[in-house]
Amino acid sequence: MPKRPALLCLVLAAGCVQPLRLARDDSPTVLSGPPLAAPNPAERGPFRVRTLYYGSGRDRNRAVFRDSVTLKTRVVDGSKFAAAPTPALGKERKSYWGFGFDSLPVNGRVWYPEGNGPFPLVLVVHGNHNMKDFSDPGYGYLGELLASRGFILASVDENFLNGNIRGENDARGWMLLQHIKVWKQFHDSAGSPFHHKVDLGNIGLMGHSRGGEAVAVAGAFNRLSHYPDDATIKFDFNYGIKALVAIAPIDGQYEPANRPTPLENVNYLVIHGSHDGDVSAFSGLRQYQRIRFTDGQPWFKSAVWMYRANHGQWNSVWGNKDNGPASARYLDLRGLVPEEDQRQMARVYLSAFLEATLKGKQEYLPAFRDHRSIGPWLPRTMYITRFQESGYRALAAYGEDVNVATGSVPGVTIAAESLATWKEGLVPLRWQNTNAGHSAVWLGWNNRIAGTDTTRTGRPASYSVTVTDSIRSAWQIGTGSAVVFSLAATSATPGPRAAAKDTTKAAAKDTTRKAPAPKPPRTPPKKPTAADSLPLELSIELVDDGGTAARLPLSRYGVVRRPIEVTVLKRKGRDKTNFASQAELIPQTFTLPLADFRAVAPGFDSSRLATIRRVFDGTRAGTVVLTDIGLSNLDPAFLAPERGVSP
Amino acid sequence: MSRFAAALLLLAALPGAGAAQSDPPDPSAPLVLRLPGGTRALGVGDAWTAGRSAEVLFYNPAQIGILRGTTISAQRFGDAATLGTLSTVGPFGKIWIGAGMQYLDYHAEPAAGFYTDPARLTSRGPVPAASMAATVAAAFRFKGVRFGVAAKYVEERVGGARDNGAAFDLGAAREVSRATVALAVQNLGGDLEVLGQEAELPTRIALGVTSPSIRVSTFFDAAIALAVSREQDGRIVPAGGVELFYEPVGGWYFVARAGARRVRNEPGRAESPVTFGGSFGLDRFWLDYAFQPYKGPGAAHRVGIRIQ
Repeated sequence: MPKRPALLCLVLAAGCVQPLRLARDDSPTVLSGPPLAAPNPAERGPFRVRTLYYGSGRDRNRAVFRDSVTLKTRVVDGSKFAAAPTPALGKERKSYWGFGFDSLPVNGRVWYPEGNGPFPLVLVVHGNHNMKDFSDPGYGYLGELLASRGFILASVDENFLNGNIRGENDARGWMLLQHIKVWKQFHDSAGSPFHHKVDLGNIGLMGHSRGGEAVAVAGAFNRLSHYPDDATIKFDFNYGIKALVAIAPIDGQYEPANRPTPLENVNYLVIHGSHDGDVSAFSGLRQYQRIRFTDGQPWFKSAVWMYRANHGQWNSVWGNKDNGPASARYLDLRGLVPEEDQRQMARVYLSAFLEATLKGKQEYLPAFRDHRSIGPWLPRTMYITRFQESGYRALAAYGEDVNVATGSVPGVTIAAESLATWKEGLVPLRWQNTNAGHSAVWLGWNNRIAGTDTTRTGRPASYSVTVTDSIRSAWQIGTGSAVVFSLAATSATPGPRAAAKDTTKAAAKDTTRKAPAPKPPRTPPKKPTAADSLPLELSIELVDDGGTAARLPLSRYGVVRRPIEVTVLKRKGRDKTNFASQAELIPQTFTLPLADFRAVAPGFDSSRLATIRRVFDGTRAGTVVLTDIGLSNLDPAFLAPERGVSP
Repeated sequence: MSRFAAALLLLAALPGAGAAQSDPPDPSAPLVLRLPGGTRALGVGDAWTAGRSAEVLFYNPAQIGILRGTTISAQRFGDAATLGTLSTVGPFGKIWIGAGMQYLDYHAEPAAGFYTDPARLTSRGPVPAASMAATVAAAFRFKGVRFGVAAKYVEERVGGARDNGAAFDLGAAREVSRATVALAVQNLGGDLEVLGQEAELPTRIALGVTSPSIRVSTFFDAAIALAVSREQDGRIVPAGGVELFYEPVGGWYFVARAGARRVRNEPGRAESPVTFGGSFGLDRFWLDYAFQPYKGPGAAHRVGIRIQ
C-alpha cells in the first residue's frame, strides 16, 4: 500500500479510539484509615497445602482427570437440566468430550490443608468460556490461600457445560450439589484422605459469571424437595451451605418456574468490576436484592463494586480479554487494574467472607459493611459497598406502592421540603432496559435562590422519614441501633429554586396596578464545573419525639461520589450507544449508629427516635438516589472500628 | 493454522497452473460473463463460488441465501475498457432474492470471431462494443442446504450488430464444519449470434469452498476461498485466494487479499494468474480495491463499495 493511504488509515484507526478516561481516584484518602484489628485475610495461613484430583478417571481431554485422580467418582445424569441447542451440536460436543449430558463427570481439583480438621468445605465454579480452554485451574490462587488458612477448596469442573448452550444454569447449580454429595462420601469413607475431615455444616459455594448465578441456584435447590421445572425429579440435599459468593455473576439466565431465583437465610457476597466486558452491568445486585433473612439467625449480604476491575481477571486462565482473545479489538483494556491487583481484592474479600461466615471470625465483619475498614489491604482503586444484615428493618424501600409520602411500614410517613426533584422509580442498571430489581427515590435540590445575586441561598432542602412509637417499641430501637440507608449521587443538577412569595403583598392586594411586573430573567441551570467532581456532602439529622435534634455529616460514614463514568469499549462513542448509562448507579450503604448522634447531642434520646432527616446543606445543588432506609439492631461486630474519618 | 498453511501452499502452486504455453481461443459470449463479478472476488483469484458478499449473485445464486447487502463496482482495463457491476441481495419472507447488473464497455478487435478474450481488454480495438447481463435470483433453504436459481438477460453488441438471449444459473450450498461448500452450474442457455457468427454461452460448473474466519492472532483473522471449475470447452480452472483481516478496533477493518487462478494464455497477451486486493471496512460499509496485472499492455484496477 502506498505510504499516504497507509498513513491515512492509521490516523483514521487512531482517531476512532477514544482517549483513556479514568475517574479521579480518591483511594489515597478513602482507603487510608487504620485496618481492622485482625490479620490480613489475604496472607497465607499456617497450614501446609496439599492438592489432589477427584473425578471419573476417564477424561479424554484432561490428563489430570484421567491419570491423576485420587478419588474416583461416578458420573451423573444431567440430561434433565442441560441440552445442546441442536442435535448436530450435541453430536459435536459428545465427540469432543466423549460423553453426553446423561453421564457428566464429577471432577474437581482440590487444595486442602494438612491436618486433622474438620475443615470447612468451599467449592468454586467457573462460568461460561471457551469449553476447550479449561477454566477450572484459574482459581488456584484462591486454593493456595484458602487451604493455607484451613479451608478445603475444590475447583469444580463444569467445562463440559460451557460453549454454545443456553439456559443451563440449573445444571451448573445442580452439579455443585452433586459435588457436595461426593464430598459427603469422602468424609464418610474410611479410606478417603478426607475421612472425618470435612466440616459439612459449614459449606461455602463460590461461582464466577454463570457460575455466580449457579451458586444461587444451588442455594435455592438445596432446600427444595423437587426440581421446580420437573417435579418428577426429587431433591434431597439440605446440605450445610452457609455462604455464597458470586463473582461478576449473571442473573436470570435460569429462572426456576419462570421466576427469579429466590434465596433466603444464607450469607451472600457479590463482587463486580466496573470494566466488566462480558457482564457489563452489576446484575448480581438483583440477586442481592432478592435475598431475604427470615429465620432470625445472624445472616448478612454484601455487594462490592470495584472500579477498573473486569470480568476475567478473577480467573487466572481467563485473563483480561473478557470475550475471548479477539475481544481486545473492541474492549478497552487500558483502564484495567493489573491482574494481580484484581486477584488481591478477591483474596481479601473472599477470604474474609469465608473466615467470617464459615469460621465465625467476627473481626472481619466490618469489611462487608464499609470497604474503608479494610482500606490498607485493598488494591488502590475505588469501591462501593452495599450491605444488609438480618437485624435490618425497612422503613422505606420504595417498592410497595406509588405513594411517595408513605413508607414500607404502616405509620411511616415521608415529607420533603424545598426539593426540586422528588420521585420514585426502579433503579436502572447500565444495560438498556434493565433494572437492579428494586426501587428508590430521586431527590434533587438547589439551595440557591433564582436571581442575579448568586450568593443568595434559601433554607437547605430536606427529606424526612418519621418513625412511629409502635415501630420504635416493636423493633426495640435504642442506643445500640443504627440508621441504615443506601445512597448514590446522580449527575443531574436542578436549577435554582424560585424565591419565596411575599405573602404580605398578597394580603394588601394592590388594586391600582395595571399590569403585572416583568418576571426576572430565568437563570439557566448551572453548567457542571470542576467543583462538581467533588463528592456530595449532606447531613443526617435525627430528631427524638421531644424535638431534640442531633446532626452529623454523612461524609463521616463514607463518601458520596459523583457518578463514575466507565468506558469499557475501545471505539469512541460505543459505550454511549451500547449502554443506557455510562455510570452504574450503585447506592452506597451507610450505617449510622444512633450512639454517634447521642454523643454529639447528649439531650437526644435515641430510644425515642421520631424523625430521620437528610438535610442537603453541604452541597448547594445536586440529585441523589436514596433507597432501603431502615433501622437495624445490628451485631456491634459489624461496626468496629469507629472511623469518623471524612474523605 | 495448519489448514491455513496448506491453503497458502496450494495458493502458491496455483500460478503454475496458469503457465501453460498457449490456449486455443474461447469462442463464447457474452464477454461480461467471463469477467470477475466483484472486487472482493477478483482479489482472491475469482474463487467466489462459495463467497459471502452480494457479488456472489454472479457466481452462485444459492449463496445469496445467507446474505443481505449491496455491492457496486467499476473496473478499468488499462484505458481501453470499463466494467461496471451492481448487485443487491436480501431476505424476502422465507426466500432470499437478488438482482444485479454487469455492463462492459470495450473496443473489439474482431478476428476469427466477434468474441473477444479477456486478455485483450486492455488494448483498444477498432470497433466499439458492449456486453451486459441483468440477473435476478432467488434462493431458499431445504434441510440445511441452500438452493438457488438465477435468470439472466444477456446481450452482446459489436459495432452495429447485437444479439441477446437468456441464461440460467443453478446452485447449491451448505455449511460443512463451519466452512461453506458450494456448487454452481452457470450460463445455461442458447447461443448468441453476432455478425453472422455463433458463440456459445460461457457455461461452466464450479465447486467452491470458503473457510470460516480463522483467528490468526489477537487482531488478525484470515479466510480462504478456493474454487475449481470446468469451462464450457472442457478446461479445468483452479482458483484460490486468501484474505487477511486486521481489525485494530471493533468494526474497523483493513484487509489484504491475494489470489491466483488459471488463465487463458494467448501469444504475447494474457491476464496474470495472480490478483491482489484490499479493503477498508467500517461496520457495514466497505471500500474494496483489486488489481490484476496483465502480460502485455495495461493492467486492470477495480474499486467497489460494499454494504452488508
